[in-house]
Amino acid sequence: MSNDGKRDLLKKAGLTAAATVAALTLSAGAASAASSPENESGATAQISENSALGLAIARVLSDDPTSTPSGYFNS
Amino acid sequence: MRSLPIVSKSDTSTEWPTIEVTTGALADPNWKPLPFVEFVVKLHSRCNLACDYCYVYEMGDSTWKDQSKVMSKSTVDQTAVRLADHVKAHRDELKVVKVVLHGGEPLLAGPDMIRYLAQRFRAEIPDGIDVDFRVTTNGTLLDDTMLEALHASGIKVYISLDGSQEDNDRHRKYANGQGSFAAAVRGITALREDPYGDLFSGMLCTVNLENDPVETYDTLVSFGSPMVDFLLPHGNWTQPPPFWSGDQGGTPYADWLIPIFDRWYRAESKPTSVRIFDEVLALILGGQSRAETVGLSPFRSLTIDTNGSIDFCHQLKSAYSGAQITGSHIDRDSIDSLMLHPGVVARQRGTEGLCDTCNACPIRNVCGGGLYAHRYKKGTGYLNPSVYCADLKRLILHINETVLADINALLR
Repeated sequence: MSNDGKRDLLKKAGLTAAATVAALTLSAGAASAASSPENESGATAQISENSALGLAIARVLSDDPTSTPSGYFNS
Repeated sequence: MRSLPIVSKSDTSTEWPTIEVTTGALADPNWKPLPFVEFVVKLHSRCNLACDYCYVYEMGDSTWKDQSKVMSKSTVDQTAVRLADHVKAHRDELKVVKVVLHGGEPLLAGPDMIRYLAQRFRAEIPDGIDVDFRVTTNGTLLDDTMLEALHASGIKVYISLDGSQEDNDRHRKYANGQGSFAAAVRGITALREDPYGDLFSGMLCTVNLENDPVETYDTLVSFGSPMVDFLLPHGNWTQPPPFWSGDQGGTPYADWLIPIFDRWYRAESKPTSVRIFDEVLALILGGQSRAETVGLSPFRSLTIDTNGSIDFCHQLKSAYSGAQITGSHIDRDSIDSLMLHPGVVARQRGTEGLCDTCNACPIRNVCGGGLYAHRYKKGTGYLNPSVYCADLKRLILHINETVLADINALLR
């Protein structure tokens, strides 16, 4: 699944269900399940928005897909 | 844009990237060069420490010996003008430019010079464009006078530290052999006091396999930094990193980082940001990289050396002496003149800038070939996988599997 596709699914599902959708898209075989209504409807409330995963999902949702970020220093 | 000059020192070089990288990109109707958004300013070329792993002084490059010690005010002025010209020419594409004060140890330039630089840059950059100032320092010179200058100039502070006193002082020493930990911690303590605390933006730790990873992480987090990053020691296929065993399938650096990831990922309260992990997680989830260590985001950074030469990032010094040199100088050349340099174009081409091995790899879009400097091999240049290929693959797959396992458990 393309990154645009992943972002669309994340936005469509909303943050509470986003972890499910996003993680499932990591596996091509599970991509279709990710967009099914039952997965979008919940079962992911246990992922805290303040967890590493929750914060990562929030970041991806807020990314501007048209922006072109730079590298950053490494020393 | 297509009328920009093609400037290259590598016209006669057989090592990649050659001039064909630029001509190939220009023939691609879907590609256009991107303006630079980050400028690393080498305010001082010397350091008050003598860390034995430093890529500036202890690896393949010796060009620092030819640099003046501190950037002159006239060089600061001309750098500000060149940077402003670039921003004005591309202001439709730029909302912010980052200026990173670097060295050597940039604070050796003194508080007055730091105030002067920030004032001159802000005066030249047109209204409507934010200037995001940062300094990377060893922290040992952070006293009240320096902190007042940084605070007044709005300069965020990133501190290099390698962990506990014993671990840090193994390599981060003064020339007389004395460790730097105590002085760095005095600096960090002062930085955390009001009104300076908001300047404290991150800690940078070079991975040292001799140190315990979780203890290192816990020590860094204990300083209250909002961000920590773990940097892989510079090395390449010609000059491999310390303790490297990638040619035999070994993954000592992934093996060191994974226990930290597991502790960080399972934190019960909001974890301190760990840049390498944040970036990999975001990329796995379909986001973009904001750091050059992973991902395929275009590289848009240049370095201004103490004498005014316009360079590639100085990490390239770890490849061979002079690898960072473009041949351009702020007294003669515009920033725009570097936009079609093969060494820039190669890093703005996404997958076109990767070798066949990387392009065939299933985690290509997350790894992105790793840090450019780590791909170097004498003879083929930078068209290789990272010397850390095996480590990056193991780390990324571990993170991927961890996320998937969590989700699958929730769905059961």
